[in-house]
Parts: sequence; structure tokens; C-alpha cells
Amino acid sequence: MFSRIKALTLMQLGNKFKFRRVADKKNLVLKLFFKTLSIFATVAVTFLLLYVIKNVIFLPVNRTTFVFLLFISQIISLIACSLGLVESLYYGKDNQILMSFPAKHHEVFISKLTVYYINELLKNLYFVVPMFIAFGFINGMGVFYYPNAMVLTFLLSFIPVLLGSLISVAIMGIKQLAKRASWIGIILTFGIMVLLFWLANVLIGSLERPIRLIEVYNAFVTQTVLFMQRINDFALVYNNFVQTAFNINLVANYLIISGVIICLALLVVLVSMPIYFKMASFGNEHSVTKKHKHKQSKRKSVFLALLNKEFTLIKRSANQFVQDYILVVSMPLVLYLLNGFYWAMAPSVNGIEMIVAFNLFVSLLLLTASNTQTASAISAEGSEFGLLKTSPSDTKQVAWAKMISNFAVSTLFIVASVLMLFFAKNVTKYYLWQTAVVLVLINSGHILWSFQLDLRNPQFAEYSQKKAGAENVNKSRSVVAGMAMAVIVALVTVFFMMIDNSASPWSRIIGFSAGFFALRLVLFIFNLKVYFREIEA
Amino acid sequence: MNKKTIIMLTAIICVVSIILVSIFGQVPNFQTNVLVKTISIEGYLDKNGNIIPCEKNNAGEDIIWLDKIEAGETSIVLKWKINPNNASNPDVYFSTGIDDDSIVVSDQGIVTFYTSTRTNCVVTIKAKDGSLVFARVIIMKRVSNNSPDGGVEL
Repeated sequence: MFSRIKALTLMQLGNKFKFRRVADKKNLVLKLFFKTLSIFATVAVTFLLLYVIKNVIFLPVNRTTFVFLLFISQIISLIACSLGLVESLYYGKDNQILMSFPAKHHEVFISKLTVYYINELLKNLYFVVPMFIAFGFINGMGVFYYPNAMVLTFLLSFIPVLLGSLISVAIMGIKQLAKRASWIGIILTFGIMVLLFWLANVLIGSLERPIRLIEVYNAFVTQTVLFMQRINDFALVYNNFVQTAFNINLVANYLIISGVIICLALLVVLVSMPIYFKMASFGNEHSVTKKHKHKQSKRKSVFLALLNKEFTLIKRSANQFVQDYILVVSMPLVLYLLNGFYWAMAPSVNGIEMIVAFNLFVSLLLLTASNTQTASAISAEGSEFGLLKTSPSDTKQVAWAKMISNFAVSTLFIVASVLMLFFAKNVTKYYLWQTAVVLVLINSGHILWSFQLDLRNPQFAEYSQKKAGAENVNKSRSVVAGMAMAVIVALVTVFFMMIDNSASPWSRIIGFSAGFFALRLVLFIFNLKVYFREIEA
Repeated sequence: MNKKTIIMLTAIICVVSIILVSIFGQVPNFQTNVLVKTISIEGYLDKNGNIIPCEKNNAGEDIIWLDKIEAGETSIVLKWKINPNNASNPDVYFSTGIDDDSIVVSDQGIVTFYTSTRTNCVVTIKAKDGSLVFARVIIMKRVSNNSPDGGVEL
């Protein structure tokens, strides 16, 4: 059994880290040298940060702070592990190959967990180890502290992986439910959004007005210390980790830590392992049991047929839609929270102009970052795009159909954000509609730009091999372009409102945005005419 | 550059923007100059934010008793009161008279013990507005059932 687990683990590790490709030993040594250097650099940066926290921000850098930071980092790690394990254990592309090997299913499961543990350990080398070392330096710990910290790092990596594998079962349960009824995902997202709005409202309502951050600095620091102490009550085993690192009740704490890890491992064996094969099979496309009803379709124009297909895809994979548009969906909440803080101050005329510029900046960052699926709209079709192009009609219209769905969703959320700020109690209404017009124009221009990127350089091969998770260079370019536009629009707003002091700044800002949109539209039409027919899948 | 980077960047920009608007975009706070008249140390805060009040020893000095002092772990947040509470500059500074960093007190009144061998200290709080008003408190580790005595020599 162990030899099979070892073979399976090594195969996955070899595939993950591309061992076979490392033929050049000199290159390998150089790579290891730079990796070690980057760990030392992280130690230096962490030490500097802790030094600033202690001597500039005046927060104590002691065991309480350590437990707090470790606890928060491990919560993030747990979330990442749970989501990553869902993908790796149940949706992994290698599942079909591994399951067909002459090995038992639980051996595949254990090998996958081992690979994930090694991955987590490597991640901790870049975060937890530097944190341990920096805390040791700041608190003047003895020599024993450092090897002890290394042992603890090995043990620490077990907890998010084991807990994550348990949580992944629950996530898969929810996913199975959501797959049967896609509206559950939407209702869940909507429920979470309502809850977050309620929490934001409570937070903003509790602010003392006007906020003067400099005057309440002392209260901020003392409340932070008390907050850390309260949170540490829930840190459970992480308290033992830090106590062990600081050489307090060493044997007892090591026993507690080992006990927790053994209990978690037993829970994984009892809960996750028996249902692994069934769950992993669920991710397979052959597990779809939905029966389609046959119906007579009405004749539609080419454009309407293509648009209908885009909206059908959105309906069919509502969860994917929420993931794609999560930044746009969260925009009303972010703007509400941000404006709640802005207007809890007593802004001067300059302050109001700064608020307008920051609102545009933040909104555009979120909106343009969501246009990444437009930047991979053609590539995501994969090799099937060739079939689409051979249709006996004007298939160029697929470009407009793909963009209209994005445009409709973005505009809907821009209007929703403005309406929400308009009706919010704690926010003063300044230039909301002008802001909305600028956002719609710049975002539409950016959608055209993003599609143009994919039109000129589609990545069919990458998508055919790796499917939707593939990193597309066009996506990165789209995000960078969007960020540049957000910065430029914010600077233009500051210039026309604060430096130029013109009587009608909004007509100029909207004029600039309309100019950008017109330019992108003309360029897109030209590019579509020239490049669309040249695309070869 | 991906969505995660944008989320982090947005969070940083939001915080920076609030700080910038607070510093450069607020109506100035006009007040007449009111000096601090008295300062008193009420005690320290427990982790739930409740005040654990000072006790008085026989010499009438304020004293805070701590059950344990652990190096790098024990941190207490002092709670003080300024009169009048609408003083123009309510800022204060603290000093311990200990210059070896074994006990550090920040401007926010957070006293941190970086050694467990030193078990007592005197913290002095002074107003920053030049009014020369100050108060003192003695922080001591409680040894068995010792009750406040007639003063501490440090």
C-alpha cells in the first residue's frame, strides 16, 4: 500500500514541479539559490514591518500579536486549502488517470492529500517561517527557538490541509445541491450580500461624526490591542503553537498539538475517505443525469440566436457567472462602505472633489477587472470556434453578442450602485448621475478594448488543453489596461475639478470619457473587419 | 496581474483614500484653546474593554496589581481621564524612568513587559499641551496575598 501511495505521490509531484525538465544542474542550483534568497528577503521585510508596528505604530509585538497574526493567516490558509482541495480532489484533470491505475481509491486520496501538504509546507516557507524568525529577532529569543520553529512549521501545515479536506466535503455537498438547482447559488450569494450590507450599515451607523482620524489615533491603537486579545480567545490550538515556540510548557503543548493532528487525521479517514470516490465521480461530465425536453424552436435572427446562447450559458452556469462577476457584484457594497466613511467626516470642497475622484477610481478598478471574461471570450470557445465560423451567416455578430451580455450586467450594477448611494441614509448625494455616465462610458470602452485583445491574439491551444482555469495573457493585459484607465480617469477628474477649476468640469470629464469610448468603438470595428476572418481555431 | 491583485489593490486604495480625505479634505476643527487642568489614571482595560480600577495604597498612591507578569506576553492598556474633556490638545505622553527597554510604555498607554524579572514600575503620565499637569501610577506583580502597603521604593 505504502509503495503505491509513494508512487502516486511522486507522479503528481513530478507533474506539478516538472522534475523531469530539470536537466541542467547549474540551473537547478541557481533556482534554489534564488528561492533561498527570496525567503531571506521575506524575513527582512517581515522584520522591518514588525519593527514599524512596534516603534512607529506603537503596537506591542509580543506573544499576543503573534497568536493573532498566526490565527488570521491560518484562517486565510484554511479557506484557500478548502477551495483548492475541492478542485484538486474532486475536479482534478488527473483524476481520470489516477483512478484507472491499479491502486485503491483511498490510496489516491491519501496521495493527493500528501501532495497538498507538501504544497502547503512550501507556501509556509515563504510566510510562516519568516514570521517565526522575525518575531524571534524582535523578542530576542534564544538559539533553541529557531529549530523549534522549524518543527512547528512542519506540524502547522497539517492543520489547514486536514481541516480543508473535511470542509471540502461540505463544499462539494453544497455544489451538488447547487448543480441540481442553480438558483440556490444565486439565493446564497444574494443572502450573503444582504448580510454584508446589514453589517456595513451597522458599522457606518456606529461611527461618531465627524470622524477625525488623527484625533482618535490613540483610541484606535488601544482598541486594536483589546481586539487582538479578544480574538485570541478563539485561536484554540494556535495558542499552543505560539506557547511552544516561546518555550512555555513545551512537552504538554507538543502533546496537545500532536493530539489535535491525530484526531483530525482520524476524522478525515472516517468522514472524507469513504465518500471520496463517489464525490470525485460527481465532478465527471458523465455524471450529468439531466433530461432535456424536446421543443420546437422559433426562428430567430443570427444576432438574437447568438445573444440567446450567451444568456442560456449564464443561466446554465449561474455559479460560474457569480464567480466571473464577483467584483462587479461587490461594487455596490464597497462603494456604500467607502462613502459611509467619507461622509462620516466633515469634507471640505476639496474633500468632496477628492471623494468623487476616489469613487471613480475604485469603481473603475472593480468594473474593468471583471471584463476578463470578455478578454477570453473567443479563446474560451476553444477548438469549437472553427465550427462556429463555418456557419453560413455573418458570424462576426458573435462578437457583439458576447459583449452585450457583459455590458448589460456591468451597467445594471453601475445603476444599482448609484441608486443605492442615492437612497442611503448616511451618504450625501454629490454628482452621482454624472459619475454613473462616466463609469458606463469608460467601462464600455474597456469591454471593446478587452475583446479586441482576444480578437487579435486568441489562445485556443491553451484553452483546449487546460480549459477555463487557464491563464490567458489577454486577461492580464485587460486588467492592466483597466487599471491604467482607472488611474487616468481619476487624474483627469482631479485636474478638471481641483487644478483647472473650470466652471463646468463634468462636461469636460464626460467629454473625455465619450472620446475614449468613441475611439475604442472605431478601433474595434476596424479590427473586427480585418482580424475576425483571419482567426483560425 | 489578476483579480486577486486588484482586490488587494482596491483594499489598500480604499484605506489610503480615507486617510487622505481625513487629512487634506476635512473642514478644520476650530476650537478655542482649552488647557488640560487635571489628569487621573482610572485603571486598565481588560480584553472586553471593562475598566479594572486602580487601588490606593496607604500613602494614597494609585496602584495596579497584576497577578502574573510573563516576558513578551503581559501587556496592559492604561485608562486615563482628562479634565476638562473638551481640552484643545488631549494628547499625553508616558514615561517609566526605565531606560533598558525591559518595560515599555507607548503614547497610547500600552505597558508591555519584555522581562519577567522586573515586577514593578512607576508610570508617569503628562499632558502634551504644556500645562505641566501629570499623574502617577504604580504597577506591581501581586505576591501571594500582599495587600497595598505604605508605598513602593523603585
